[in-house]
Amino acid sequence: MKTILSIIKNELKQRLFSWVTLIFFVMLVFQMIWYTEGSFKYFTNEGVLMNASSIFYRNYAGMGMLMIIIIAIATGSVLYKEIQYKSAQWTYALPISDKQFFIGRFLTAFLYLVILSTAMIVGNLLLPYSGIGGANRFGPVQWGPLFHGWIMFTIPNLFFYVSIVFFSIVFTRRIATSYLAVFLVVIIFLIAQTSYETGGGDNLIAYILADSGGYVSAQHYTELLTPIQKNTAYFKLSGYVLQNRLLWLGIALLLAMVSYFKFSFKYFIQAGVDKSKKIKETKNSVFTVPSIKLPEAIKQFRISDFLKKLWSLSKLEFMNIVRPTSFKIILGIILLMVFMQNVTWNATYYIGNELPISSNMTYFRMQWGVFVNMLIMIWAGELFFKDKTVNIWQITDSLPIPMWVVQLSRLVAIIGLSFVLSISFIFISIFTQILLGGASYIDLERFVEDLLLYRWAFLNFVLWVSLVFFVASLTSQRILTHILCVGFFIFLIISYEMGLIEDLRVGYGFTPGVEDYSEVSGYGIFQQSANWFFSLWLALAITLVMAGIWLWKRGSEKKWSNRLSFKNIQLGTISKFAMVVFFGLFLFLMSFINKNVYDIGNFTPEAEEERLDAEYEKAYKYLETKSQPKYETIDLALDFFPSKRRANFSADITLNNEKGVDTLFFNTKDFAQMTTIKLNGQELKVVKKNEAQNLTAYLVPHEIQKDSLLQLTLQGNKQYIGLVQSDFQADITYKGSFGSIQDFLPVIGYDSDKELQENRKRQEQGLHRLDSRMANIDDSFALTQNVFSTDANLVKGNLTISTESGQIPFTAGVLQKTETVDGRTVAHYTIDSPQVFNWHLGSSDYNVAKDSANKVAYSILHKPSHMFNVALYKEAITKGVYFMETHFGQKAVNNKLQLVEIHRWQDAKYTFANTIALSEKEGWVANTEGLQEKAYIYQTIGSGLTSLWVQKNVSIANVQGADMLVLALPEAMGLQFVKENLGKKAAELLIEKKTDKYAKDKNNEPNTEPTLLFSDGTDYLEENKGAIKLYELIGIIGKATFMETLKSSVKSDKPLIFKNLYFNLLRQVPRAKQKEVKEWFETVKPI
Amino acid sequence: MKLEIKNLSKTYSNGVKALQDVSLTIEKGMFGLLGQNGAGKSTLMRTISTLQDPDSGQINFNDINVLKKPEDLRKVLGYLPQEFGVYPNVTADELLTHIADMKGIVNKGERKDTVEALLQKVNLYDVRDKKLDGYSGGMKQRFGIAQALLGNPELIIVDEPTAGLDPMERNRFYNLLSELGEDAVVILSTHIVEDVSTLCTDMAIIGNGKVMLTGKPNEIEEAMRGKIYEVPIDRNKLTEYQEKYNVISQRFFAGKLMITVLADELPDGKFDTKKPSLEDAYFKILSEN
Repeated sequence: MKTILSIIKNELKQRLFSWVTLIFFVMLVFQMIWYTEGSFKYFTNEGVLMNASSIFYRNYAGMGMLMIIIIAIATGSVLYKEIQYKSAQWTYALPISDKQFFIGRFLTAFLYLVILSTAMIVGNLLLPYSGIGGANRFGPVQWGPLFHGWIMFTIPNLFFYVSIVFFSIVFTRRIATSYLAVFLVVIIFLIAQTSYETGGGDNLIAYILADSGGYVSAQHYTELLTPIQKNTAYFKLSGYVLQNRLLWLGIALLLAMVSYFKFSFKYFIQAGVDKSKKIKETKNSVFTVPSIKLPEAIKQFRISDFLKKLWSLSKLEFMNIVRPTSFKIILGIILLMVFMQNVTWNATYYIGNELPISSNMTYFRMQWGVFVNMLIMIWAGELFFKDKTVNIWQITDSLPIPMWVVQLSRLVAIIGLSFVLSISFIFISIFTQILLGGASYIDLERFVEDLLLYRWAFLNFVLWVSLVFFVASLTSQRILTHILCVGFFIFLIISYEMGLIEDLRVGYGFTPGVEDYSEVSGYGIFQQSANWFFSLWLALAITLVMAGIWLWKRGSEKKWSNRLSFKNIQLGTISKFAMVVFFGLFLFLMSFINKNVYDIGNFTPEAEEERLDAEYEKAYKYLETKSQPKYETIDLALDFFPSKRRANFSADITLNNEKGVDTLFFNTKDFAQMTTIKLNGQELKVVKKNEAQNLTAYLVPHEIQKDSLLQLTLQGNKQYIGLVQSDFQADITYKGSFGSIQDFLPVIGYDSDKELQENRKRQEQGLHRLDSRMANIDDSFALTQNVFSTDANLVKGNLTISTESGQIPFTAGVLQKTETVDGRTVAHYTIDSPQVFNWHLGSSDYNVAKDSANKVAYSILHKPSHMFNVALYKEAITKGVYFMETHFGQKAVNNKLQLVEIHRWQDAKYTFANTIALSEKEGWVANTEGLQEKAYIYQTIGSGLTSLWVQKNVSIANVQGADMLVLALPEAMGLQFVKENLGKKAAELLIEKKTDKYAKDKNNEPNTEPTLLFSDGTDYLEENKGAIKLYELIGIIGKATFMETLKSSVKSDKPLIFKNLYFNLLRQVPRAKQKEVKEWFETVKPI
Repeated sequence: MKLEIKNLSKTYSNGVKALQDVSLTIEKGMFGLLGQNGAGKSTLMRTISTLQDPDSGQINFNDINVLKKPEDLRKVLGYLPQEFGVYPNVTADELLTHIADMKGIVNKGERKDTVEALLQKVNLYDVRDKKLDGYSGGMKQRFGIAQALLGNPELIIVDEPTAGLDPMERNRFYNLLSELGEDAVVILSTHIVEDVSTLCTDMAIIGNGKVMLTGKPNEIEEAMRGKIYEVPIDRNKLTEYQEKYNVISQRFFAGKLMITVLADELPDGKFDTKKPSLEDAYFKILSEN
């Protein structure tokens, strides 16, 4: 015991009292503050504090990349230093037992990390003084959780890391394997965490258990906490959290014990010695000098010879990488994991299983691309320093071969390796697709674009390898190169993931829209931007490679002045010139992107957008109650020019001007402009223009100010220019354009959509907090507004939409005819009876399937290759029409209907004037063999048809509870439709989904969860809890009673308030059940 | 064929003056560079081999300005560093062929012949297909000299080639090195006096980064003839002898301390006259500095 204590004391003394430890400590403090800022953004609720206990727990579980790097570089050497510094021969001969030595060193490593990790506690304590948030963002220090979380997560995690590091070193007797072990643990964590975030809860327990640090369990745990609990609660060590902790603590103990028993001085001192390889010379090889004359050999040093050497060396280096069995094992494991991921997870979405289409088969790259990239970076670093590692550099560096031949050959070999990996991914993905039955819809272009270009694929690997090449050249140190490159890479990944950085200009190798492939629209406008961004990084990468050759330290002790000298001929004069040219190209592209993305492309960071929105509210809130004319009829002609990112429009609009106005306020969208604005034939005079807010005020000529109807003539266009970083520009994209009519026509008066809804953001911007996101039910002004649009009541009109050849346009209303004029496709729509003004329009290369169901003629516009579920949609529509007519009466469905597939970049579902628009992910590519998926398709149609009925038959006031009518009611009827046609079990499957979604999202409520009765338009409430409870209410009072009550409630001339409907329904509820029903609707009790 | 080193100086960032105004002229043949560990030999070798930049000075080999045109020197250089490793999983044949290619022997046939001849010359032909990481220290060193000889270099630098070798292997190595000086300038850097006395026709002694002595080994030895004496003494009398005589070295022989003294005439009757060796000269230089 005394010996062990002595070892610990001496070792800790050496390590703790050093500058490096102090620097680590300070960096960890800052990391904790920085991470807290990122974690805080996840907790949108206004009541969550920056020093909330749940933030502590998450930070302690994750520990941060810096801590991981420190673990990797500081732990292994505690055990290995005698081998490393060749002092084992005498140290191990000291009178101490090898087991005592092991325990002493193990505890030293563990205690050192534990002491360092107290920096995390210090960081948490310093949060209020760090300047990352105002005083109102911090509550009293939660002393209990501050230490509880550290004990629950950090300490066991450190124990695990020390165990795995010691285990890998003891068993391989190589320190490098400990780096690899830590690296693998991090990779598994990243995959588990990303899969958890993107994959939902299907494999929840698997993701939680796979993460050795417990971060995923902490993340999931906090998501289920209320804001108050988030601030103060202790995590309970039970359930999945306990399982995770026990599992990894058990593994850690096992690793530590196995290592303990394996370790001995005799065994360990053999590190690096493999006697089995020793070659014995035979007796007859006793050396004599054979007088052998060396043959004459001609030496040649021409450029052509060097090029040939470059090729042959590249091949040689490449073969050296791929030949060993270890490479084949690694490749096999990676491919197996990719296969497993594609089979088990990639082809699932919220609704359930999807078909094995090619775009689903390439999505694994979002997790694996990151991992493979890091692996390749490390491979590259090892290869670039190969000569130094094996200590042959003095021989190779003095050979008469230019540096560019040697180093470039290695770069080429690594690029070759990356290519082989990428091609292997393509093969395994195609194999998986075939195995899953997707052979007939293999899309080779998808594989090539996703796995060979720059969306976490081959070309990204090339870019990052180029950076490694440069950093290796700059530092001349292998480990430092790994740390800098992998560290920088992970820093960028985490920073973007946490929203700490938004700007892609600093994201080396990053391109816009990486995750945003749409089956309908491809990468849309991102494609063009991504090409430019990739060109930018490629120019930099080429510069880095050239600079890497130029600066590569050949030999040792090379002066920087000599390395940087123009006379340094490692890079030839022409190449130096080319390097300058490429760097110039990089600067030019950066400037081009600056101009096109951030200047004319209108990219606005999130914080700036929030500031602008707040400024709008502060400046123009008064307009909300100021009388403004409303849309009454619209004759619109809109011409899409998708290839030019342009739409021209002209509109004759009748405005209802009952109250008489002297000024018209128009809000337009970015890039939209009006070239002609006439009111009753008169040009309007601009009296105010706020370009930052796209708001213009026009003076209404005095003589027509009192006219009850005004005739507005508009001509204008929307022309997107420049490039994008994050804006989909989905209303005009090359294929699959889809947008609101008010993406083109102005919003009149106050545009409440611009208001910040989250109280925390509102307070940050100096706005008052909202008690409710919607007006109270007794707000007399809001009661006069229609919930669908504040600047219109019910509108009718004629809409003529045209688009380029090869595409089909669509919009709201009844399609009268389609024709081809001058090579363009023109569609004429009419809306005869006034409709709510939530119209949308779009254009894509659709296939149109037409049919009818009980006198309802309908068209299904879908991506030509998405025929998969068209028949099922037809079946659902046929049954849906019957359902609607049975429950809502004859003509419950308009005799013309269209169902449209749209891209996945906006909401999942839109319903407007005769149209249901469903995102491509909402069933078009679902595998509907299962009941759940089939039920979902039925439900979308059932709720869509009900939604159309609601829009047509119910006037809904713009007050609390509106979305119970707009969303919850149709969703509930959708569930009823499923129940009646597919059975109760099918409906229950959907209810389960909705229950999960509500449970998960309610805790991310940014403000305060309202009751269903006073719901105020949150994403998670009405559509999930609201729909379930209305559905259950139907079950209680009976379908007939429900429908009767609903129909009688909407008969009133006054706009309907949900509260009124609710009380009408409540009266039908048996007394015994009333308390329960009241709890559903009048309290925030969870489902 | 001549290597000229002029006023070469190098100070490391930690303040160690590895080379101080070193000037040497080395002609064709085997040149021994003798010095203690840390004397600056390896720094000088690496600097000549273009692996390291000096702070000042010049190096010329024939008409090549080595510091300005290192790539030209590398074409005629063969270098065996003091310590070197090898790629694992590569055979002697493969690595030599690879280095031959790097040295500009582009013709496959010539490359094969050269490699085979060298493998035979260093007696590694029988194990040419064995992985290099299984080679013993001596075999590796022979492989090292083979790679240095590839491409018929005009300047061959061998840095501490016999360090760590057992006597048998060292003998083998001497045999091999003795052939080298016929057509090239060969610099043999070593701290073992026997290496120089066995192999070299010219030599220099280097210490603290400075050249202390240059000349031919036999002339250096001859210059000390009649001035070197030795006597066995009790070890506790060493200080007394050191105060009284110019003791240049001491060694144990049969359990007795044997001291060597430099004097113009026999110090006293207990001393025996000793035939001077290069080692004595070396110790004399060291004791003077």
